[in-house]
Amino acid sequence: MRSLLLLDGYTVIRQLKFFLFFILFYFAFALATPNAIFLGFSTLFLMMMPYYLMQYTESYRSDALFLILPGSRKTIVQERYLSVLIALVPVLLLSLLSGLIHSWDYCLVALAEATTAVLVLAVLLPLAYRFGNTKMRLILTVFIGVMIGVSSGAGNLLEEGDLTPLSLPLFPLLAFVALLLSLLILLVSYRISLKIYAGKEF
Amino acid sequence: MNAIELKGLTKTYSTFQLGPIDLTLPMGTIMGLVGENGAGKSTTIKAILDLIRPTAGQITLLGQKTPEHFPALKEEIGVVLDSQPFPTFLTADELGRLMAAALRNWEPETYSAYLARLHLPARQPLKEFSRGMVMKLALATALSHRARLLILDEATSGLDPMVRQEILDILYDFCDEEHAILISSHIVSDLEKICDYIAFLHEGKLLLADEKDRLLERHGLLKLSAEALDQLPQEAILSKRLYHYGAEALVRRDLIPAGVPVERITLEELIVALARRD
Repeated sequence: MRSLLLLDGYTVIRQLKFFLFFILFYFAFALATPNAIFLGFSTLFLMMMPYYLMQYTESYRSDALFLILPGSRKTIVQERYLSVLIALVPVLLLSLLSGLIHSWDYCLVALAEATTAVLVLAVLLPLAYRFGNTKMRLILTVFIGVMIGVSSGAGNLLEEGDLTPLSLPLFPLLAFVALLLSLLILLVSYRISLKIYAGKEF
Repeated sequence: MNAIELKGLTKTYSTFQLGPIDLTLPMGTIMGLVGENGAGKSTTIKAILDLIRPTAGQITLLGQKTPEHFPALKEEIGVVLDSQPFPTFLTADELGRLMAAALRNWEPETYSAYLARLHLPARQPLKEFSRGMVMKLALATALSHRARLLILDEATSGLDPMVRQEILDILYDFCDEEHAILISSHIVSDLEKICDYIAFLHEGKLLLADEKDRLLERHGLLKLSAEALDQLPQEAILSKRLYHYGAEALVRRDLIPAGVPVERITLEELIVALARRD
């Protein structure tokens, strides 16, 4: 597990440094200015990091490297899901800081975005284990299209609906429950990925 | 103890079947797995390393059955694959750190000594390494954690003769009674230099597995006229080629009548003749 995390660290520093720069850039802006867009970008970039790391691992065939080193296939999948939880730590920190500095509304925005990102990863990771990088490009394109459709549909519904009963007192609770639920779904996704990875050939 | 025992190892694909293979590699010996491209050498090695799932059969490594004991066994196995799975943005130093994090018995001093001996730069990204350098690096990592069994897949392929000899020298030094090596290659001359045992795969089937010296003693090359060849016991002739000036045959020495001059055969000639027969 340590060696897998170390490789992820090297990959971030060497291959994803621009990505890291943008995360830090948006992170700083999200704290400096009360602007939900910066908050959203930093959350989105942070949460997509585990998926990109997985793509790098596959493109360098590093799975084979770790499969010939001590440890099981389970460890490899565990590490990838652990990286999702690790990415969640700065997101939660950012949401807390935004709440403290600006307004708790921003904290809720960050939590909602983190929840969405966890759900997206819960779907993407097993698909990536099953289909690999090449097919995932196509799947991802379709997935983004579906996400845009669902978001705009949900946006329209929210505009039309009366959300007064769900106003402020309930929102924080709902946001935390949603995040916890997304983590439970991530656990299910982990079990599915384990099953897929156990039968994979290299 | 045997380093590797394969019993009925089979892997079935839609267009290719490997095995069933029965093979034993005793400790203290080097076995060469030979065969043409696509014969099943890499498939055999991948099955041993649990990179692919065998359709049937039993694999025992260092006295322990796999895949159930394999995660712990990997500490004692050094592996060099045909195409190295090293992230090329890393340096040899960083790769060493990854190995140190993964392997309990990792010896940084041994690794540094191998890097120096093999003239490998420690701080240069691997993407700037030649294939020979990457292979030498893979060998350095495989030899730096007190592995008892080395498994090498085409470790000398595509390398110049100097590098190949360097690698063969290291392997020869490594193997004593506490260690064993399984090395696959289609460069038979490399294997002839260092191997005690030869296993020959052809179209997924194990055609022979025996001590190299015994194989070379038992078989010979006979060059004579086609008519003279017909006079010999046919069970002695394993394969033959007819030319306009005569015939050339791979024969079993013990079945050839005394007085018939049988030439010594090289391992490469033996393998080619056996493949042709099949």
